[in-house]
Amino acid sequence: MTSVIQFDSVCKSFRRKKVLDHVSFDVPPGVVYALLGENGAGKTTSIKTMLGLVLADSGSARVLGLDCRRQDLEIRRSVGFVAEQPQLYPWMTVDEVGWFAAGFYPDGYFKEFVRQIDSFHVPREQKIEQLSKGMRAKVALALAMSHDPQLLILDEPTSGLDPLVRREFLQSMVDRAATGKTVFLASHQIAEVERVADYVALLRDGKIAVAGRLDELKQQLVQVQITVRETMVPLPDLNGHVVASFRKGRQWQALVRDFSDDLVRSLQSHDYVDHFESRMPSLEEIYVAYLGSPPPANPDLPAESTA
Amino acid sequence: MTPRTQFARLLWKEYRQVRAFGWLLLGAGLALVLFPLFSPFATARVMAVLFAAAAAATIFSNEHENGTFWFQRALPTTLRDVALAKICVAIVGAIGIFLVLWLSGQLTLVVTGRSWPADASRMDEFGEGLLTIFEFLVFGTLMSLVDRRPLVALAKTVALVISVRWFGFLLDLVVYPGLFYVPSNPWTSIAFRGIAIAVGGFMAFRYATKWYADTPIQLLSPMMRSKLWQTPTSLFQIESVLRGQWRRLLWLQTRVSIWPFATITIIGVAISILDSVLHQVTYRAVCASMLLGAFTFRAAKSHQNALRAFAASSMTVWFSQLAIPAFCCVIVSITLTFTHPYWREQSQADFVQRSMLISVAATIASFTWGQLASLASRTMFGSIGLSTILSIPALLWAVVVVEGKAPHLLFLTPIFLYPLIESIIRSRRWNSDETRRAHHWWAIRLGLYAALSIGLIVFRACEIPLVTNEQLAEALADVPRLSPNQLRRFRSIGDELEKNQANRAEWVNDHRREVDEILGEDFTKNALPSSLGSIQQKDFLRAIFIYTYMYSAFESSVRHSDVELGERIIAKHPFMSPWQGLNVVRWCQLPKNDSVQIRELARRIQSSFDDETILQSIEVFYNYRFHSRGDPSIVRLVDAARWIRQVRVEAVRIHRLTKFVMGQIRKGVSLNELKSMSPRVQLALAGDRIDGLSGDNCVLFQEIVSRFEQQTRSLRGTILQLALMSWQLDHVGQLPGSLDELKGEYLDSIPNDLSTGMPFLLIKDRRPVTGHIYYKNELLGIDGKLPPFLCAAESGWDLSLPEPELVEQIWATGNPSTWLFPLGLPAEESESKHGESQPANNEKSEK
Repeated sequence: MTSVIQFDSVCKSFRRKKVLDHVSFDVPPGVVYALLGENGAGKTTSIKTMLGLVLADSGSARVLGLDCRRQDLEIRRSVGFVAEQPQLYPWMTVDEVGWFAAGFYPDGYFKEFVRQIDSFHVPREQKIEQLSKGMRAKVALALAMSHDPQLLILDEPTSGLDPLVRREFLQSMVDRAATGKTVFLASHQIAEVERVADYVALLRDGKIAVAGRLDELKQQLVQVQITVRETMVPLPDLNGHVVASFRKGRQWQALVRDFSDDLVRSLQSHDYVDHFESRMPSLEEIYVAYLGSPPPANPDLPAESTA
Repeated sequence: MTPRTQFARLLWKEYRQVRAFGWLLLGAGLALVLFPLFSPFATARVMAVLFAAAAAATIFSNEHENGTFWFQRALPTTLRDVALAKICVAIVGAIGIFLVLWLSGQLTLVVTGRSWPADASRMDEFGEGLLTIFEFLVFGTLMSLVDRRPLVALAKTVALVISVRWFGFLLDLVVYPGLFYVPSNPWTSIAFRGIAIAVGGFMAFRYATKWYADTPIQLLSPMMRSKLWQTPTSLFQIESVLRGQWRRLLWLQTRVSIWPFATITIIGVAISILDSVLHQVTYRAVCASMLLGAFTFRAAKSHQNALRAFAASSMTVWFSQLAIPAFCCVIVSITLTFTHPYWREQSQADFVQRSMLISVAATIASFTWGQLASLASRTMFGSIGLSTILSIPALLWAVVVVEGKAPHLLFLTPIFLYPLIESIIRSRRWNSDETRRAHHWWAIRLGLYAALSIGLIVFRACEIPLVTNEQLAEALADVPRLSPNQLRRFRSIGDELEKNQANRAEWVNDHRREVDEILGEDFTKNALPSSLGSIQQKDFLRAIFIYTYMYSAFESSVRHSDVELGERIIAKHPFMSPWQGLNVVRWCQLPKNDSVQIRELARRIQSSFDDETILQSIEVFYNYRFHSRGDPSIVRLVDAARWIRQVRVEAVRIHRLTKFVMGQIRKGVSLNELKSMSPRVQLALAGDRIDGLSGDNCVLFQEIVSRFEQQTRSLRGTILQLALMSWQLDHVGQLPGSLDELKGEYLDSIPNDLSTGMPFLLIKDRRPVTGHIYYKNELLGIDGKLPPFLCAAESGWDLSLPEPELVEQIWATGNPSTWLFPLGLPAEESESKHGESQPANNEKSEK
């Protein structure tokens, strides 16, 4: 299986600020891949690097098998890109903006654009400046998808949209992935990403904190709630499997990696543990666990830290 | 999809963006061309330049402002195509508008039968139009790359073009140091502008092809800056202070201060250069207020914090008001020093010093009051108005103190100390609302300040000496070249002015022509020095007359080589512009040099009467006459030098002839044989007297000797005349008290009249000499038997000569402007000589 996006130890610095620090991940075809991270983590720079708009200082970045450094035109021609809060020329009508963009893509672009616009129920004769924010987002999406790209890259796609439009937007992403196309999106809307993403990568301070399939990630980690007898009792020793933990009164919340039966027995053996229960963590809990703590020493392995 | 299609779409997009503006300009331009209020070609140029500036300055920056940068960025096209499409539309649009309007203008002229404007050359207009269009295109493109806000880019473009033009103009002034004549198309400024366009074009090309990339120009300024301007920097600063992160605070201040410095300093350059050209203190105060308001506006709008107001309202005003004029003055001074040795002795140091002091005062006023206003008022317009109003008394105070020659008082006054202390106190409580609550204290302090300021200004202004009519008359009396009539007229003007205080402006307009006629100068109000016009003199109109009088006196005095008077005028005239200063130098320098040179030549002519000296003197006089613009006295000097040469040639010829004839007589050659030997001898012997003395060769000899003596007499008189001229060059056209005063510096000894053996006598009129003085050294009579005369003449003056018959006789010649009288002859001899004399019909009268 050839990766659609292949980042291999990509580094990028702006003056003294290191924005991407040995970032590596692979995006397989036909999936929805989400890149999560807080503001300034390097998500947009990663996308710019994919599109050849920013050149990596070191490392290798390939998209659809094309070198991002040398074949940026081909990449931009082959992929669809929707920027964060996309701004289109306000004086153009919807038709005009489609016709203008059609000049840069293969034949049939404008026809497909019109079809998509009609399916989105956007008035084609209206000027961009007269459209609502949601409609503009739909136009931008139609512009990005009208040449049927193998890869669709979205930078904070639902930012500023109301919930209904947001849901509709994300559903179209899932539909697209179902047709075998790849969708790469950068976001910090964790709940939405969790609904649509197949793969997730967490970016922190320019480094990948964790990356992998979302369901596998969830299976590896268990959210354990431990009730102890007294408030001053520390978290029981779990043999270094705790990724993150915090206390609330007599309760400890811990995200534990490889929560095996041995660990269950170990907990039961402690006298000061009154009660404990485990469940599958949400993506948000994983996100907070990884990004709310100091960066791991080895980026390939999940970090082990305490709150 | 082909590359051609891509480019066509990009062109379409760019055209659509400027379409409305372009057609609007074209339509308005056509209307103005067809129904002309102005020159149709100027209309074409203005419209095209407007389009070029607007299109170029927004060419890249509007993509950022509209937020369409990333949309365009994500398109699969090359940077080259994007930049090329943008630039093509701007160039084709501007040139197209220019050509269409130009041709329409031509057509209109042909159809209506009107002529080309008299003051414009067709090719000059066309070339200037194209040059200006390319200037705006290139600098606009560059600024639109540098700045991401179209309006700011446009302002920077205009400022840059103005700066380049002014610098080119200054280059012209350096290259054409005479400053009297700068050609309509000076090559220096055109070349400089061309180089600037080339450099700007190269930079724009470089940046345009890297527009999308992380170029330093994006990283260093616009990107970071645009983020910073959106950041609540006040909170950021407070946090920095609380955490003690001074480096971060410093970094932030540096970042946010770059933009206003860079932008407004460029505007300040243009304003300040203009300011230094005009030298109007009032104008400078207005500029300072404008800048102050602009920066306070900027500060209040952006952050409302003391540091920003401090930086904005003081530092940049400092730059624009002090550094730039000082820099210009230094450049001009260096240029003057290198080009005109006179300035090594007399520089405009006084002017520079005053300008610097007033600029420093303006800076401190801006510094203190801008800061205080930004603390006291939390609204934008309140801050602007308050700082401007409060700065005006401080600036006035500065001007009064400096012009009142007491600059040491300037920085010791509460006018500057009070707001400084007040602002320091208030800035410590800046975060609280105390400044808003303390309005009553503020009003009380402000009232005290106003009273103190007004008192100080009035007190100090009263100390500045005013010019009274008596002082004016006294000053006028010092000027020897002003005639009594002119003096009387000036006095009456001053008196009439006193009576017409109510409507002085109308009165001046009515009498300006009269004043111009009296002075013989085209007086304009712009030539008024600001130091006299608005500061030292209470009576502005009187200052006009003083200035005009000074200028007139200076002009006339220079004609008579009074360098000292010129220097005095410069000393009284500290705000003289470089142009006027150069004019003064030019007028003063030549007489000063030539005076020395002429004096030296006069001495050499006495000691070594050779052809080389004479030729040199002729050359010097010619040169002097050229530079003195046909001054009659110089013209006469040149003719005197020529006369010396003629006398010299004639004397040599006679001497050689005498030797030849004497040699032939000794050999026993008869008179007839002598006549047949040489046509020149025949000519010399062709008189009636010689025919009556047959056989006597001594007659021939006597004739030759007589002619030789005549020439020698003329020569001595001419030398004396030359010495008198040298004296006049050094004494404002005055004659010496007696010829003995010429001894030493001008003549080693006073020559005697060859005929009588008596010394020459100098007779002067008994009244002040105000007109031109004429000298003539001429042989009178056709036979040349009269003794030499030193002739002085003065138009319209009663010289009271001792020989009334001679006066009547000269009057009878029909040339009353020339008065002749013999010198050094006894009365009886004089009478007898006069009886033999013939009317002097070969006299030259030069006027």
